Amino acid sequence: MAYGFEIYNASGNITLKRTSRVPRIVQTGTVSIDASGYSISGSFPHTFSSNVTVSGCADDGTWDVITYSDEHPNGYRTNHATINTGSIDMNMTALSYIYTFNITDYKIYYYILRT
Amino acid sequence: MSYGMEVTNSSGRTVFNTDEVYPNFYVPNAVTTVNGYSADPSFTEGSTTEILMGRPKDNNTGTLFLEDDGTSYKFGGSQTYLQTFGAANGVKYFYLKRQDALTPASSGYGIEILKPNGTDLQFSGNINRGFEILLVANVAGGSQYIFTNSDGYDFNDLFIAMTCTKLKYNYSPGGGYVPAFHGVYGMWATFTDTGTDSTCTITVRNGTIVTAAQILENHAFQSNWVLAQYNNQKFFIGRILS
Repeated sequence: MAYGFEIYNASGNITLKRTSRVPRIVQTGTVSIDASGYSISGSFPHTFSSNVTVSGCADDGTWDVITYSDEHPNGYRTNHATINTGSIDMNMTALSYIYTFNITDYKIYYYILRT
Repeated sequence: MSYGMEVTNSSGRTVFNTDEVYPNFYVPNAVTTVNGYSADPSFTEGSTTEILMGRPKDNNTGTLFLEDDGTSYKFGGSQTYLQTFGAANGVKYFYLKRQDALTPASSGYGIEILKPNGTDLQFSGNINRGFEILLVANVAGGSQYIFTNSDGYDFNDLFIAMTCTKLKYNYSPGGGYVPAFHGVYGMWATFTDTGTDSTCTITVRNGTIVTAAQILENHAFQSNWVLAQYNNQKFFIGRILS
């Protein structure tokens, strides 16, 4: 290594390494989205959101969010995030009315990463 | 910063400082290798303190995905059509764990850095392996992202976050005048081991495929999937440090 620091354990494996600015996970969590307006009479696609405050974040290309939901993929709903200044919207987009209606507790799990 | 520790790289950019009070993720336990399909990693949905990372067995090519078998998520391949799809026949996995959910060694060697509230920000004792994220990327709906290991890392050390590869395969055999139905929804990652680390690839695919025939992992996506634009998904790939 040319710079930075590395720390090894007794087996010779690196346990800490800081030589470059690599992406790091800075926050994990869960949000619940109230999509009770999600019904057969709604218009689609339609996005429901829950806002998470994240100190210092900005849509400047150095923040990323990975999301997944508590249901298996089904083609009817998807989830994603929108990065704002100081907060992140966790979104569930209903693609059609098929499958399930009036979801009041749609869970999105997320990892926020800093690059 | 007025106190603490800071490391900068050759460009003067901060690579680490003790003002960062979020917990880091490490690999506290040994990597598990399981032969065959449907390995059960005891995955806990929605955990905020651990992240399941997976790849095929060493030197193998195969497709990684988490499959909901009705009771829990397991590595894919429970059915013949999932094996034909390309499910990896044998996997390696481990859990990245948030350091503040770990217990530091009470004695020994290494460094220990505390957060202002007195809990650990970072410690090196009691950690099995380190981990670094190589890539965070977006894969649009109905498309794929190909990561090439051009830096030549040991390809057997590269893993993908399995929560980014949840997949559902619906199959109905049909009968009479009703055709068979095959439908795939979600994301999956195919590790292709060429035998030369620098040319090995990980192809991450995201989308929906519906057809009357068996679906393979590299099957064409639905070109008429009008909702693809709403289905961008992100993922990350990293390597275990050795």
